Amino acid sequence: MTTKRSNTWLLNALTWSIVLVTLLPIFWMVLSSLRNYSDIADGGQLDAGLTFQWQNYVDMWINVDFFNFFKNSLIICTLTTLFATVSATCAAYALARFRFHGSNAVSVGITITQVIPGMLFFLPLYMLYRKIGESYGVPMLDTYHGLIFLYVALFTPASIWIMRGFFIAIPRELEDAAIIDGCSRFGAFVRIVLPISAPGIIATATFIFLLAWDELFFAWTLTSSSSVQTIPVGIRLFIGQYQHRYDLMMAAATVSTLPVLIAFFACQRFFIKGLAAGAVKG
Amino acid sequence: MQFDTFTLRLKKLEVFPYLLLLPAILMMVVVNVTPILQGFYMSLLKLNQYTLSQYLDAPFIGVENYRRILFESHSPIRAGLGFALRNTLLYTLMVSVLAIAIGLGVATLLNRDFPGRNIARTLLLLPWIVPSYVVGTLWGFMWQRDVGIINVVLVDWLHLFDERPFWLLGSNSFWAIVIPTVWRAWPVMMLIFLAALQAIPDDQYEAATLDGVSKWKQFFHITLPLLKPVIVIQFMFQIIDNIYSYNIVSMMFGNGAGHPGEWADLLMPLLTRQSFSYWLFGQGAAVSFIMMVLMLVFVGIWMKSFKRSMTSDD
Amino acid sequence: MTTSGIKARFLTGLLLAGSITATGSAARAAELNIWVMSTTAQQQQDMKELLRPYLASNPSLRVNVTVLNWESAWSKITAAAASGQGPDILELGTTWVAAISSMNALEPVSQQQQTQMGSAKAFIPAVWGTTHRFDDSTVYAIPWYADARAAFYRTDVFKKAGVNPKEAFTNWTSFKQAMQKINGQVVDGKKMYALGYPGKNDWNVLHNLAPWVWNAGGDFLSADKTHSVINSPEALQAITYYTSFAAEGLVPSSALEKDSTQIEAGFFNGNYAVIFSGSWILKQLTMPKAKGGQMESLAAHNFGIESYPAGLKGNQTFFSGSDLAIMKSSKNKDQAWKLLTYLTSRDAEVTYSKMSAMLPARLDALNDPVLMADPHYADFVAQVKNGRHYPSIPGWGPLESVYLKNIGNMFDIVAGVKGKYSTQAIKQALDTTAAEANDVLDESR
Repeated sequence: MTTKRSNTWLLNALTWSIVLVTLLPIFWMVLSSLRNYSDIADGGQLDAGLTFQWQNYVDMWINVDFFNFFKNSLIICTLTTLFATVSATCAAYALARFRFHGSNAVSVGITITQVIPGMLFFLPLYMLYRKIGESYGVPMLDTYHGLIFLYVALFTPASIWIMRGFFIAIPRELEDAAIIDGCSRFGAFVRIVLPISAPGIIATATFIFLLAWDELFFAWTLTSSSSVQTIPVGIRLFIGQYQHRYDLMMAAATVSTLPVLIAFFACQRFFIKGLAAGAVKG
Repeated sequence: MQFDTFTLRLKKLEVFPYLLLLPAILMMVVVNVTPILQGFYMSLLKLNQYTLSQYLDAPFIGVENYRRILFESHSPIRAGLGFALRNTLLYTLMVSVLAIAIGLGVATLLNRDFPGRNIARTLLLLPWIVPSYVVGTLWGFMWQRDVGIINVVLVDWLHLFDERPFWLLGSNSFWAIVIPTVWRAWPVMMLIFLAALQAIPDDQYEAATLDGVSKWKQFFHITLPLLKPVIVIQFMFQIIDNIYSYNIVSMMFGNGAGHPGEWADLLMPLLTRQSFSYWLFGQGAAVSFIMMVLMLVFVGIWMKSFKRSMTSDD
Repeated sequence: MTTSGIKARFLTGLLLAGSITATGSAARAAELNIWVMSTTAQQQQDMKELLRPYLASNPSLRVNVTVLNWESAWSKITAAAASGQGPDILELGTTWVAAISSMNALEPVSQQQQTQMGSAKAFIPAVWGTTHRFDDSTVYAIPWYADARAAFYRTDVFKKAGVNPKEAFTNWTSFKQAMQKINGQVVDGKKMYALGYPGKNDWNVLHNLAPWVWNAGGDFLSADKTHSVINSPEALQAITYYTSFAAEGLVPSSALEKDSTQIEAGFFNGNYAVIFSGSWILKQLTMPKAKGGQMESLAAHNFGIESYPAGLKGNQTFFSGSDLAIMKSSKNKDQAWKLLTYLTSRDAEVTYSKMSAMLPARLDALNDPVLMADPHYADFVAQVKNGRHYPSIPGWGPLESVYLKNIGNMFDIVAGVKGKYSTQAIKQALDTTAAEANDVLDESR
C-alpha cells in the first residue's frame, strides 16, 4: 500500500514538474510584457522586483495600429473556421461513407497537398490572384475574401483527414435505420450523423481556428494595408532596425493568445472526446 | 427490405458524394494545382531580378537550373546548402522523435486520475497556443548566454554546468532551435495520444494485471502495439512539418536580421534567403521542386510500409 | 498540424496597391499611396502629424500611408517593382535605389525637378550619391534622411580612468590603449567593459565594419566594381584590428550574440563604456523608460560623442539613410512629385528628424538652428563631417547578404566557438567570403 501511495505521489510530482518546466517560457513571456524594454534587453526581468509596467498593455494599441490587426484576425479566422469546417465535414463524410470513382485519388491528393513547399506556391498564387483582379474585376489581393478563400483551401485537407476518422467510427446502422424510416441521405447526414460527431467537429473547428490565427506567410504576402492585415503581420512592427519595443511585442503576444485560449477552454470537453475517434483510426 | 435499401443507396450514390466533395475539391485544385504546375515551370526559366517582371515569359532554359544545383559547386545557391541539409535532416529526426516520445510519455502520465488533471491538461496546451513567430523571439532572449533565463536556471540554480555555454553561437545553436520546436510540438502529440489511450478499453489491461504482468510490460506489449497506427501517422506528419520548418529559426537570431550560422541554418530559411537575396528565383523553384519530389517519395514509401497499420477498415 | 509547416515567410511580399486613383481636374479628389518604413516609435501617427500641414493646404487630397517593417520591406518593394504595381511614393533604403531603378520601376527625376530641389549641393554628398547609379547620372530619388555613425562614450568613466577623450579617439593606437586602460572599471556597482559591439545576430554587421575597413584604405568592392576585395591586406588589417578587441576581452564575448538594440541598451545600462551607433539613440534621452526611452539612466547624463578613430587613410564614418522615389506605375505622378517636394523640404525634414532622431538629408535642414539648439545633436553633426556610403550598384543587395552571412560565421571564430582565433583563421574566413561574393557578382552579370 505504501509503495502504491508513494508511487502515486511520485507520479503526481513528476507531472506537475513537467507542467512547471513547460510553462516557464510562457511565464517569461508574460513577465517580459510587464517590464520595460531596457530590462528585457539586459535580462533583468527578475531583478526588477514588483514594479510592473501595466502601461505596456495600453501602449501596445497606440504605438502600432494593433486594434485593426486584432479585429482583422478575429474576422478572418472566424469565417475561415466556419467555411473550412463545413466543407471539410461534407467532404470527409463523402470519403468515409461512399466508395466511388476517384475516392482514392482524392485521398492521395489530400496527402500531396500537405507536402508542397510554400516556395513553389506563393508566387504563382499571387499572380493568379492578381489576374483574377485584373481580368475579372474581382479584387482578391488585400481583401478579406481573398485571404479567407486561401485559408479555407489550405486548412481543409488536413481537416478532412481528421474528420474522416470520426465518421468511420460511427456505425453505419444508425443512418441506415433512418433511411429505412423514410429519411433522405442528406437528412440522415444532418439529423443523425452530425449530432453524434459534434465533438469531433468542434475539435476540428478549434484546430482550424488556431492554424488560421497563427498563419503568417500568406497573410503577409497577399495583403498590404492595415485594414486587412492580421496579427502575425502587425506584431512585427514593434521591433525592427530602429525599433525595440520588445516589451510591447510580448504584451501583444500575450493578448494574441487570449482568443485561442478562450476557444480551447470552452471546447475542452469536446476536444479530447473528439480526437479519440479521429486519432485512433487516422 | 434489404433490396429496397440497396436500390435507394445505388441511386443516391451517383451524385451525393460528389456534391459533398465539390467545394473542397474546387478549392484544393485552384489553390494547389495551378501553383504547382506554374512553380515547376518557373524552375525551367531564367528568373532573376531583371527578368522577374516578365514572370512566365522569362527566358526558357530547360533543366539548366537543375544542372547547376546538382553539379556546379560554385553556384551561389549551393553556398551553405550542405550545412542546411545536414542540419535539417538531424533537426527533423530529433524533433519528431522527441515530440512523439515526450507526447506519449506525458499522455501516459495524464491518463490517470489525479486532482487538477483537467487544469494540467489545459495548461500543457499553452506552448502550442503561443504564436510561432513569437516563440523565436522569446527563446532568442531566453538563450542569451549571460542574462538568458535558461542559463540562469541551468548554471546558477541547478549547477549543471561550470561555465555558461553559448547557445546562439556555434554548434550549440542546433539545440537552440530544436528545443523550442519540440516545446511547441509535443503538446499536440500528447493530446492525440491521450485521446487514443482513453479509447483503449480497460479490459485489455485487466486480464494482464490479473496475470501479474508489470505495468511496464503492459505498456510495451499492450499499449504500444495498439497505438502503432497513431504513432506511425503522427510521425509522418511531424517529419513533413519539420523539414519545411521556417518561423522559429528565422526569428531567433537577431529577430530575423541576423544569420543562423552553420549549425542552425535550415533548408527553408536558406532557400528563401538565397533565392530572394540573391535574386535566384528559378533556382529556388528548382530546389523546392526537388524537395517536394523527395518528400513525396518518402511519404509513398512510408505509407506503403505501414499500409496495414494505417488503413481504416471500411 | 501539417499545414502550419507549409507556411514559410517568404521575403517577396507581393501586393497590390489597391488604390482607386482618379486623374483629372482639381475639382475631383486625388488619392496617393505612400509606403514608409518603421523608423520612428509610432510611425503611423508620426506620418499623420508630418503630413498634416500639407493636407491642410490640399483639402481634396487623400494620402494613404502604409508602414512596412524594415526586415521585410526589401521583399515587398522588389515584388512591387517586379509586378509593376505599388504605391505612388516609395521610401527606399539608400542601398536599394540602384537595384530598384535598374528594374525600371522608378520614375527619373528631371533636371528641372532636381534644380527645384536644390540639386546635389543642397544635400549631404554621401547621401546624394545614392540617388543614382555610380556610373550613370540619371537621378531616381531625392534623399530624405540620413543614418550616420559615431562613437558614444561615458564621460564619467573616462574621467575616472584618467583618459582624455580627444586623445583616445585620435588614431587606432591611441584608441586601443585607451580601451585597455578603461576596461574593467567598476561603475555603480557593475563591472564595465571598454567597448561593446554586436556579432553575427545583427543587421548592422557590415555597417559596423565599414568605417574601419575604409579608414585602413580597404574596401568591399574593387574600384571597377567587378570583384570583392574584402580579403585584401588593408581590409584584413582592419578586420583583425576590430575583432582583436573581442579576442582581448575589451569587448565581452556575450556581446557577440546580441543585436544592435541590445548593445545600445547595454550602453545605457552601464555595460560598456564606448559604443559606435547612430543618432537615433539620442531620441531615447527624451523618453522615460516606461515609454522605451533611457531618460533616467546614469549614462544619459554622462556621455559624449566622438568621431571614429582615424586609420592610416582617414577617419570616415558610415552613412546610410533613406530616399524617396516615385514609381513609374504611379497614376498620379504630378501630385506625387508635389508631395515628395514637401516631404523633402527643409521644414518637413526638420520635423521628421525631431520625430525619428535621424539626420535630415538636406544640408540646410541638417544645420537648422532649432535642431542645433540641442547640444547632443550639434555634437553629433560635428562628428560626422567625413561621411562615406557604399557604392551605388544594382547588385549591392545580394552582395551585402553574402557579406552578412560570411562575416557572421567569422564572428563565431572571434567568439571562440569555431576553432582558435588567429589572423590566419580570419584570413581564411575572408577568402571564403570573397569567393562566394565573386560567385554572386558573376551571377548578376
